Amino acid sequence: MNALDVALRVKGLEVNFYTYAGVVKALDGISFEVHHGEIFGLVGETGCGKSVTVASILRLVEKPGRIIGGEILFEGVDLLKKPEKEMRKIRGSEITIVFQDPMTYLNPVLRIGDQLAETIREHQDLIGEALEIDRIKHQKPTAKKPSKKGLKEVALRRAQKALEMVKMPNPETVIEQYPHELSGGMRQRVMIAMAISCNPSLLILDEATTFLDVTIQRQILELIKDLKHDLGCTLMIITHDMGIIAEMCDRMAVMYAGTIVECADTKKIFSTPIHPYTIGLLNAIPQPLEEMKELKPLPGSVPGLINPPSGCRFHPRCPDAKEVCSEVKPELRAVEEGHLVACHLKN
Amino acid sequence: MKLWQYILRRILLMIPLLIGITLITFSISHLAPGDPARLAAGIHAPEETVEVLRQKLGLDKPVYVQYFLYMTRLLKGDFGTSIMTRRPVIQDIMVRWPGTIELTTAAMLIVIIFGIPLGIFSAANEGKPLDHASRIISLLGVSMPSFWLILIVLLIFCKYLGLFPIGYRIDPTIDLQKITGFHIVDSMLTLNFNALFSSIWHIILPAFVLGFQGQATVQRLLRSKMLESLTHDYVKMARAKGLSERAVVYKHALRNSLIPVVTMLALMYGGMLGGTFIIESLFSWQGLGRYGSRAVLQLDFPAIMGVTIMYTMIFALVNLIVDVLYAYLDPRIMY
Amino acid sequence: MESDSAKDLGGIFDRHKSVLQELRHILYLIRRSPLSILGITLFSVFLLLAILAPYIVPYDPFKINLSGAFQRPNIEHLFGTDEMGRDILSRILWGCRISLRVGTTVVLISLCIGTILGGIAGYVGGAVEEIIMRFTDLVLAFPSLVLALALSAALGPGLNNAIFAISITWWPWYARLIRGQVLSIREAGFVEAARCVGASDFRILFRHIIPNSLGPVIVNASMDFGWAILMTSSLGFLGIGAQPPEPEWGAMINAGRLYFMDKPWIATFPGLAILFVVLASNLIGDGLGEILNPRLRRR
Repeated sequence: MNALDVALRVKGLEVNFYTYAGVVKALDGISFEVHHGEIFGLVGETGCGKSVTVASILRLVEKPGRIIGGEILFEGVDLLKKPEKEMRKIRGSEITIVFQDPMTYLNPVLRIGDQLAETIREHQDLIGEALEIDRIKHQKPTAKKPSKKGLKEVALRRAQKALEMVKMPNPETVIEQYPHELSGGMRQRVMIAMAISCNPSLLILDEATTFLDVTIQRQILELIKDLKHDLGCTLMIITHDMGIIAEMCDRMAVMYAGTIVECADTKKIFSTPIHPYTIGLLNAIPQPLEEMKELKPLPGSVPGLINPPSGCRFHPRCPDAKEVCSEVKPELRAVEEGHLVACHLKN
Repeated sequence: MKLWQYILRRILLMIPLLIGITLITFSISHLAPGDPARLAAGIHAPEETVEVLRQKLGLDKPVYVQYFLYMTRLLKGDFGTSIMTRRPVIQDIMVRWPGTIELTTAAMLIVIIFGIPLGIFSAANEGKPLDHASRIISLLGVSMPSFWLILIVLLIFCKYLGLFPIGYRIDPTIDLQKITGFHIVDSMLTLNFNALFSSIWHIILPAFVLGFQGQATVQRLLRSKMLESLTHDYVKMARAKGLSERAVVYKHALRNSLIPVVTMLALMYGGMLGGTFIIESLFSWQGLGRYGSRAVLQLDFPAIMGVTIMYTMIFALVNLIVDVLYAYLDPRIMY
Repeated sequence: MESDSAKDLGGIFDRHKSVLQELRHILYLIRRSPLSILGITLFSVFLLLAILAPYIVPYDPFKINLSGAFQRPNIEHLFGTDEMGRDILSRILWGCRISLRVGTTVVLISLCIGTILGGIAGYVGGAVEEIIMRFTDLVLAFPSLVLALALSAALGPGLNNAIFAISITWWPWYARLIRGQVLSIREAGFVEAARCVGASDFRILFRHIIPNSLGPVIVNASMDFGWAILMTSSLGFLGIGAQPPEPEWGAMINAGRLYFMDKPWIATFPGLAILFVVLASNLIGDGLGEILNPRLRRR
């Protein structure tokens, strides 16, 4: 794969959380690649480190967490080495995130239009359009600098356009409303509108449909597919729902307890999963159209990450574990073209 | 619900509130020991005078009739006669209320001007030495009795340093035309700069002391709420959108944190009204507080109740204004 | 049998392990907060002085000795003497007892009234809630010191009347607080579960809901201890409330104010005493607030 085709490359990312109970080794040197224009899925149980990964990409890891090692290459440039000022330019414009719960992620005392417009004002060049408005509408034909009113109007116009792109009914009304006046699905559309308003090249969805009804979920996923097609951006979907991955993603990675265990094309993973954890995950999905069988959940539970299992973090629950599994951490290696697995037995 | 509807509703709700207030003040004055007729007539008055007075005041009638009489008198503005000044209480109040309002307003300004910026500053510099310093000072401010602070301040500023005057609202030798009764306003209206300067000079120290505790409370509350707001998800979102730290703190966190502070401001005003009893006495400030504290010492009940009702009505008005301000800041409350 | 009771003991620890762990965590957080430690220390000193006062006062706090009046602080009288020749240090120590009594009584009374009324209002709802809350609003419509003053004047001067008057102005805060808490917990899962098992309303309210509502109440109560002392001393300063010769700190400041310009020690020391006690209670309240509010915890 050509270096130019890689939008995001995460290499050996390590993140620790320094808490009262001890040091939580949340991310243990994870690596994966997201290619230009694809839909990439990151799947794993709650607590496996998916959200920490997302936060790390934007350098928004909150105390007591800290990124202690690795590289995050976005369009070839290591984000971890960039000064904060430049990171701010990237956040919200080139890399944007849609979070899980629009009720808490939207400011309850500010209007929707305001919250959309502030991103636009921050990242986009509104001067030209604002001057035009001043000259024509406000009768200031010789204005050189745009007025505040003009800038505000342009930003709101673009905000409304963004709402139209996410198929929001009555965008002119919504602009004036507050978050609590909208339904859950509408709020999530607002979040998506905020994310696409500045033409991102990488759009990340962090459990974006988890809190929605199944029918709304469907609508939102369709909307996202259309938007990606229209905008030509790269999409990264974080979720614990295998169904969404199966439906939407071209390539995917499976995370477990702060490590990536398998990474390949979605079809490949669903048809021939290699890592024992992936196999266990897929086996645990009930198959309504097949004969009635017993549910096969994975035995045991996710380990605490203050004292994670030595070597391979999955070995205590792995049916095929050998001695080497508890001693040495397995590397993520290509088992065949484009299919990477981190397992001693399958390498 | 729109804002004006909310305002209307709040105003209408004042009416039963005011009735309730008169009920309570009536009950309290009824509790007072001693014979009101005897107190009004004087210790040396003969029995027949006291009896006549008792009938005139309706004190021999059943309680509910007395309450009715009380209400009608209140509505006419009759608060009774003060035992210590021998004048109608309403007159005493009318002369003195501008002084108190001027003082409490000035104190409120001190609270807002000092408390809010210091609170933001403290939160934004959390953990740094300046934050620790301002926290300690505000902690001391909330723990100090105001009357003790005044004595110390008077000692230092007035006696030793001679910087500020003690007593009175304005230099008594200055001639000021009375329009509203508010010295500062009147001196501005009549362009009497001598008077303006003098009245401001006289108000600074008492206003500062009155507002000191309030300013410390606001500072602490705002700091606490700001720190809490900064952990909320919408702040994380604002950062993820690439907004400047300034926008995150002032636009997102502050708006949300100011809301509980605004509520606290109303309460604080009530505390300040109570504080005027002490401050006005110590600064010889002509206002309701000094009048009220003398009335309390002499158990002059008509005066005490008059001041209580006046203060409570002012407080109710302030609460109304603050409620409206709150609804403006937090539109959720109207739903 | 021995082994059985040993097992029982082990069982108790197991069942309450999470409570013990939570307590350990709280102690850890307290240790990490120097302000809380300071507050607890100051308060303990105050408590100790109040309890031991009768045994450690150097002089009789009430004994008048006009010939020895107005002494500056010296070796015999560490804080000097007041206008009646009484030793100020002894009076301050005795005042600790008064303040302790004031603080605990006011907080306890307002807490009880407020919890009962607020709890009933929140749980029963409907017309009862409306009546109780409207009454609460009515009392809160008065500025607290003004109401306390009027009540104290009506009841007559005296410390007990002052304590009663202040408690009357304070209970509405607790009522509102508890009602809010009860409202949010009322529909919680474990409450519904208790209902399903047939627990009576009374039992649900007092055994389940109220214990879970006490978090913010405890924070408020600790700060209110200091606040009650401030209010009482204000009343004492204004001449209503504690009456001479009671060595209540506010009344002492009032007595000393006439002489303040050239004999400042009479009023200064009682003021410092108030400052320390209220400071201690605020520090503890702050610390508890930080501990109980997970958002403010710095791990």
